[in-house]
Amino acid sequence: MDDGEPYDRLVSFLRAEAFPDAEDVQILEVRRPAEGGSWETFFLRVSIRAKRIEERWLVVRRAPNEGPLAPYDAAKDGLILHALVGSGIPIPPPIGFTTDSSVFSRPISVTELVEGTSHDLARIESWPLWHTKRQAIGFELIDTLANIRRFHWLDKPSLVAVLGPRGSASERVARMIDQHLLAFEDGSGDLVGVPQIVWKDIGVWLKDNVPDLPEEELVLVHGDYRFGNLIWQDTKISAVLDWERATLGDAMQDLGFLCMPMARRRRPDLFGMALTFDELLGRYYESTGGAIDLRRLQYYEIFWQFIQGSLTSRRLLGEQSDRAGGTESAARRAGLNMSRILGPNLHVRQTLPLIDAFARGKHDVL
Amino acid sequence: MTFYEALAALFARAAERLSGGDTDGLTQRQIREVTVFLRRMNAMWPELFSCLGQETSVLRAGLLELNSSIRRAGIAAPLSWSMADQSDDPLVEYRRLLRVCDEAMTFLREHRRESWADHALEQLRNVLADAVRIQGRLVDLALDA
Repeated sequence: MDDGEPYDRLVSFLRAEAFPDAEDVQILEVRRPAEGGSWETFFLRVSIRAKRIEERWLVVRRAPNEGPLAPYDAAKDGLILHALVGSGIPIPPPIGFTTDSSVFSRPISVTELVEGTSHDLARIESWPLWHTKRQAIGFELIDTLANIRRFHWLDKPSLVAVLGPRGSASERVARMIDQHLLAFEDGSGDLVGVPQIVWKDIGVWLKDNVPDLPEEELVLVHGDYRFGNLIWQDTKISAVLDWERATLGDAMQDLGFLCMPMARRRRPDLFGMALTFDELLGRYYESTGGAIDLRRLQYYEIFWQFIQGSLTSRRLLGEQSDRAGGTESAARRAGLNMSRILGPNLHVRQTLPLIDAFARGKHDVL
Repeated sequence: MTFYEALAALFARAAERLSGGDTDGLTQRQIREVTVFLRRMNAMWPELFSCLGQETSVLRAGLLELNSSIRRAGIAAPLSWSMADQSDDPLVEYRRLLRVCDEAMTFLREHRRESWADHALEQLRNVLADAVRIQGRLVDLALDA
């Protein structure tokens, strides 16, 4: 554990906030995954001495300093997890969180470790079960989404407060779009490409065409519902992670994220890289008792293509801005990641036919 | 920085990586990234310059047509939409045209409730979609490599 991290202060935090009855808390082992998302992850084996000594594995996620989704909100993730305890939605049991950077250098969220495996969408074909039990995996994706959709958020005022400013679907969508459109206003006028111009136009189109729903008809939306944020035990989801993008929104919103073309480039016939169109329709109906609204699903596929596409562009803009400013940096860290250059064109080409189909009322083009 | 300039910048980063002194210290992932980059650039190279030329032609012709149709509607387009100050440098010219497109898009969106702007906006969207498709040929070549 001689990696320069302030584990002593982390232990004090855990004792005070998570295990107040413990006489002693010790970190026995630290593991850090080689690759991960934007948040830094630490797996800790801790010994907790109270009436008896017990060992547990905890997960500490530390917010990044910077990144396309900044500012990162450890409190939001922690508060949502606490609100979801007992809901039936599979989550990692929350231990605590703090926005006090003196504890562990930056804000952190701490949960118990959930056993299982996680699979990156980009490498999903390397998961053997995806080949042998793909349909069961897809059904579980839909069943868990239905479970999230059924959550009664109206009973949880503390949760509503962290899910963004109050408002209808169109008001919430407009706020998200405006936030992402800001990424293209770099001020220097030096960072222009065809995809960026098109994204700006699509952002306006999205605001003009959002299917509106009053707030009371909105559902809990995870906002990043993908393989990489799920822990699997065989074909069952044991935890849904990373709730910091959660909001209230249309019931088709998370489904749109799961099904958008960007998320199934290698297998356009498999929605969420798991189910055929007929399988998706059938399971959704079985699981929720209602049919998929294809118009709204199509809209939210376009919406997420825009959000994710603009994030890619924002990363590229950030890299270029760092280079222009002579700072060390995102550009160097990004290295030779060509997807940031190739991606925007690809994503725009996936999105334009959907907009065209939407305008023509052809909502089965997904 | 445009698509074409961003690709060129990657050459510099690849060179930085390989000339860092400690090439034995490169991870397998870093080596793989250099290899993938070179393979993709090789796949795009035969089409790279012709695509830049075609995109530029499509944008220039589209903007000229856009200017004409806006003027036909009796609307004065902003002065900076002028096609007179062309550059001989293909990358500079491409970037200039993109800026004009960006400016035109902003201008037209501000007037999008008016019928002339609606038509012009559709024209501009078609021009940009054509440019995206041309550039897309390069992207597909890279991704298939």
